Amino acid sequence: MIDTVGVHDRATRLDRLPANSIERRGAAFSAIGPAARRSSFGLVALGAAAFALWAGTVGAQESFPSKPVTLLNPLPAGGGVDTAMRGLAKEMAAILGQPVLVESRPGAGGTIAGEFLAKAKPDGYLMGLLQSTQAIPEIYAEFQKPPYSSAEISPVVRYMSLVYAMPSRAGAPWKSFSEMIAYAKANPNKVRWGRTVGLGHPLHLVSYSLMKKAGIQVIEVPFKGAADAITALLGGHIDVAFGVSTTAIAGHVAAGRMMALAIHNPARLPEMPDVPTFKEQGIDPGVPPVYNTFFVPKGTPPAAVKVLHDAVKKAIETPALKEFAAKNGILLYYGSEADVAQELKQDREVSSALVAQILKEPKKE
Amino acid sequence: MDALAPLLHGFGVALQPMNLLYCFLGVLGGTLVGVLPGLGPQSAIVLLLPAAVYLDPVSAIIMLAGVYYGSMYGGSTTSILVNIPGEGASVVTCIDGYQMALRGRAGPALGIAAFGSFIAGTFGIVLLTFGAGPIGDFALRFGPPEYFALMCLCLVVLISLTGLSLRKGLIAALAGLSLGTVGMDLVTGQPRFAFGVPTLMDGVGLIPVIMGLYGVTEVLLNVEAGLKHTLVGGKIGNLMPSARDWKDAAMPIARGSLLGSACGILPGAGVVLASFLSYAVERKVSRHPERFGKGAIEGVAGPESANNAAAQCGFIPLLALGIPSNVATAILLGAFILLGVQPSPVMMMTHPDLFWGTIASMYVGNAMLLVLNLPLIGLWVQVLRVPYALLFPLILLFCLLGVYVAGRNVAEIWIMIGFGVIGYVMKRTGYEFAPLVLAMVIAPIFENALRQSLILSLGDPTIFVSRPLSATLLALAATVLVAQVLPRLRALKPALRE
Repeated sequence: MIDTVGVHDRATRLDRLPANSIERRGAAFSAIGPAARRSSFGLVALGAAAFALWAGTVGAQESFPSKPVTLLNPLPAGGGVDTAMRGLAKEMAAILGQPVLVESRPGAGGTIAGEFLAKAKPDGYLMGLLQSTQAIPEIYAEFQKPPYSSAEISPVVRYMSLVYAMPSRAGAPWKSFSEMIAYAKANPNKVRWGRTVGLGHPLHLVSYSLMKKAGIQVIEVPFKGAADAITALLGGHIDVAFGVSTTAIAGHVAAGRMMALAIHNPARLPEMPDVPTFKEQGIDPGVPPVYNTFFVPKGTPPAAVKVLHDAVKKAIETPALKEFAAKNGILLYYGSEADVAQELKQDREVSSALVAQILKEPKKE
Repeated sequence: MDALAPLLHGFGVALQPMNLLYCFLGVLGGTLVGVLPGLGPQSAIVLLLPAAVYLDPVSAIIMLAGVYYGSMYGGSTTSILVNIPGEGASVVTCIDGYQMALRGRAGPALGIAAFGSFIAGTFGIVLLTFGAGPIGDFALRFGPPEYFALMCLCLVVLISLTGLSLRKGLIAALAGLSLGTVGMDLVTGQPRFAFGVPTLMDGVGLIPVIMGLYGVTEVLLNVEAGLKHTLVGGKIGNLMPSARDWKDAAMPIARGSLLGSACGILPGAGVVLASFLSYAVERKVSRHPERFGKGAIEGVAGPESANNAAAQCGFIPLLALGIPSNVATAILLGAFILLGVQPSPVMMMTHPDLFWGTIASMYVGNAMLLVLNLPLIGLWVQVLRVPYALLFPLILLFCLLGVYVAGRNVAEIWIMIGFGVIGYVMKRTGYEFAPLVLAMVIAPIFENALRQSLILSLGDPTIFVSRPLSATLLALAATVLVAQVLPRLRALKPALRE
């Protein structure tokens, strides 16, 4: 059940304020300049700003882009997505002949950045890397009323997908995902299953789908983020967890403190050749892998969209980015506008159905 | 565990000229953001992140780590001289530090803060060097029930922070606990008290609240006072604490080091909690609790030691297990990943240069901070001695900047301004901030641990007493509660007889 009325209400209410709120953001942003100069780190900022100005004047005058392009990250700086974006930004800057900056505006599951993008000037100088929650916020309206709708943004190109794994604590009485499922079937409400995200998050949909399709009863323990769930796994306080990036557990698996049971991806990963996919283990969650696709505000000139699309595509093909991605466990996954449209359609159908099913569940507690 | 040989190797890395330079830049920059109210270590590390990618990973981590622990030194300076905490962990230092300064003892206050920080910081690094592995493993034994028990203990200790009026203190604490419940419900995914504001889905941020209460409020109060002097005038005086000061501060520094280390090791507890708890403990064990709030050197030495020990020990879960224990170490974890290193239990083996180089650089950085800060306090005082008509707008600007840079979210600026106004009203009506802030830190950990425990036990509450660690902590909490309540009841007795 999706509260579309609520979405429209919200959108119209915000429509009355957009210009104002963007101006406020702009003013706060420019305040960094003079103040930063007072701190020693200001030197770095100053240098970057000077470079940006210099590059701006020698770069192409007429054609897009004629000034630095900003890539918007809806997740916190320093996270895995941030790393992947910085690697891309470096290559894109060389291709576009303009500095490419990465800016994080985290919060509210990424919808703060989504709203910022939706209300931004559609000139092609701001492009956000969105996941399902921010790309089609209507799906999750029941959990979180979105302050914008997917009609206000349009997709450009898919950059990558994130591969999430199900780790298990060392010493558990199973050696594989299918053994764990068999154990859970024989022992209802025994397996302690950690969840790393909020209810209704795309990763929860995968987790929920796995449980339903396997037909098992587990103790589902919610955690505030993957780091907390990893800590609990290492301490043996839970048995398995879903929604942890493969890079975050690789070290623990190598040290023998965890097992990686399966990954949520169509194929195995080259850096974890021994870890099967859920499908191989007999249960296909049916939810698309977590895609990371670039979006621009609706109404961005098609010429600019094409330049951005081509730049990302070209960057993905450079050996430098390929090497960077392999080193950091990033799965580069180019998708054209048509690919993306197909994926968004599938996501909308599958995820909406799962959300509706979750909402029908009897309330625990 | 024989850590000496690899540690010597680490010193070989840390003492390379380039790494020494970055260590110096890091601690100097850290001290500066510590001194400037508003800008905290989180903002500074986020600002430096893009530049750090272009450095050698070892140099970059040495510098960013330096910013983090360096800021713990700087924060006390502003607390003592201006009564505004330079960063969150120096909040309690304001109470007695500023009072010492008003009584002409700014020098010893700054001195003992620096020495206490150095001693506790070094203690933390020694723990990190020799105990990273085993201590990290012990911290893992803290599951949800243990965290619940630990937070119960914290709540009980909180009572002794309530200041002069128990009633007002408890009201402030309850307000803090309520604020801690704002945001998405962890179990059901439903928003609570968010009123459709996306930012509130993540809860009320601690940084905007602290900056609002302590930064904006102070500016408002001073505008009202006609920009009277708040920066302590006159000479700072001799920085060296007297023999008597050392005698008074020795035990608080020792206790602060231990308490701070414990808070640093446990993911989620962190530097702010460490300093608050240390202050509460010092007041509790003191033979002259009435001196607290009137310039007691113990009230500076304890918390300042505790926050440095906590900052250093926060690296234990990060380096030993790859688990961040607070916001700043979470950003540092991101920096590691950005530089191509995933902290994990095997990092000691896979990246010995980085692991031992970083640890060795902390010894060097701490020594630098002590040597730097004693003479540099004069410089920091000059920074803060800007005319008040300029200083207060600047403080406001730094608060705005600090809150904005940390999350690039304008809504958080409004939260900060709102809490500035709330803080003004609280100060005018005699309410303390400390119980509110501490309760806000405790509330989400307390609630989540309680609910996770009961989910794990399928609703059986005996899970809290059937596990030895959690049972011990709960027993300790009960003892502290009785110890706090009995004297009050005894005081009531004569009154009841009449």
